[in-house]
Amino acid sequence: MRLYHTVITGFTLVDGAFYTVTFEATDLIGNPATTVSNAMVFYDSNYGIGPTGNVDNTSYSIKRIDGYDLIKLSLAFGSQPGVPNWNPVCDLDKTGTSANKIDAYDLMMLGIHFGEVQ
Amino acid sequence: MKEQNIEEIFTAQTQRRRGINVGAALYGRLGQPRRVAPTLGNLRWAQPTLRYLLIMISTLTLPLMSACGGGGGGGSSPTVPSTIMTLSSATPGSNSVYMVKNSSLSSGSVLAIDIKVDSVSNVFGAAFDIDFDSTKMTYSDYSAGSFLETGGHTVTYIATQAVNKLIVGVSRQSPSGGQSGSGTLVILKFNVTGDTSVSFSNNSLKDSSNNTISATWYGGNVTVQ
Repeated sequence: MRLYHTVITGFTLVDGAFYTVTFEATDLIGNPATTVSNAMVFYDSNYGIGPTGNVDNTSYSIKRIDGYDLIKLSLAFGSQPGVPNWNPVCDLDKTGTSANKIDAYDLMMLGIHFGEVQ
Repeated sequence: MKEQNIEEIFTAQTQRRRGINVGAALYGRLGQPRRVAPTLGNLRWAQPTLRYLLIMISTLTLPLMSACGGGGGGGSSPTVPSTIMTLSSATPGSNSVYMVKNSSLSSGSVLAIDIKVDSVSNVFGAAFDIDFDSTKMTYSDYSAGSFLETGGHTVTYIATQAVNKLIVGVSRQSPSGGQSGSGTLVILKFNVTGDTSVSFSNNSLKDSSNNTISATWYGGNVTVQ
């Protein structure tokens, strides 16, 4: 079986924006496959950079847990998926009732790592 | 059975805290030896000489210490150190962040510094470092400021000392908006042993959209008298 695919590149992704990612396909004779789509794809260039809690990676706060991370998490405080200020990068504690919610557990996680530098 | 043992151990610990020797009781009940720290109360009457000697040493030492230890107070009263803080600018104006000594919370070598804002708009949080010579000054504690708590908003304060700096974060929580006006962001307390400059670095005020608010930041100098 041969697969032909096209990936459209060149997007300028914006930090903090939600994107819809759609997968469309047809076979060689043109029969369409079921389209798969996810409208809750969040883009944050800081994700996974630096130690736990490094949710803000702007100039002063590169790879360090500090007040910038606190402010960014606080701006998302209380949010859940679907609300405007939801930011999954700030969901530091993904266990139990704290999963998919920015709450005191995430704040505590940030506090535990506050001051750490990678 | 297990519960009884736990209860006995708890009781033993309680009694030990009260200075009661329970080593023998534990040995008998639990069937295994327990090592008990050798305190005066643990000595058996089977060792009367040693016990007597310890009591005599205690009895003699206290009066001797009282008699000999008071000789140092005849001179002038000891000088209690105090701190002076000077600001790098005498008149911080609008849109500024600056430091002021909090005299009511400072005492002796303890220096409390108010981190204040003057005529700012829509402040949601502040992130900054305070740079100083950590061989002359060490961070001890913070007190909440009143500025961001205006209106009963919840504010998070975090500060941690690194080498030659204190990393500080102060922030309201969503869905609060920003605060405008003037006031104290946070009060930071230090133990001071020598002169050092204190300055801001990595500093920003942030509004409720996480945009940086333009402001001038003023540090200062700490002097020990």
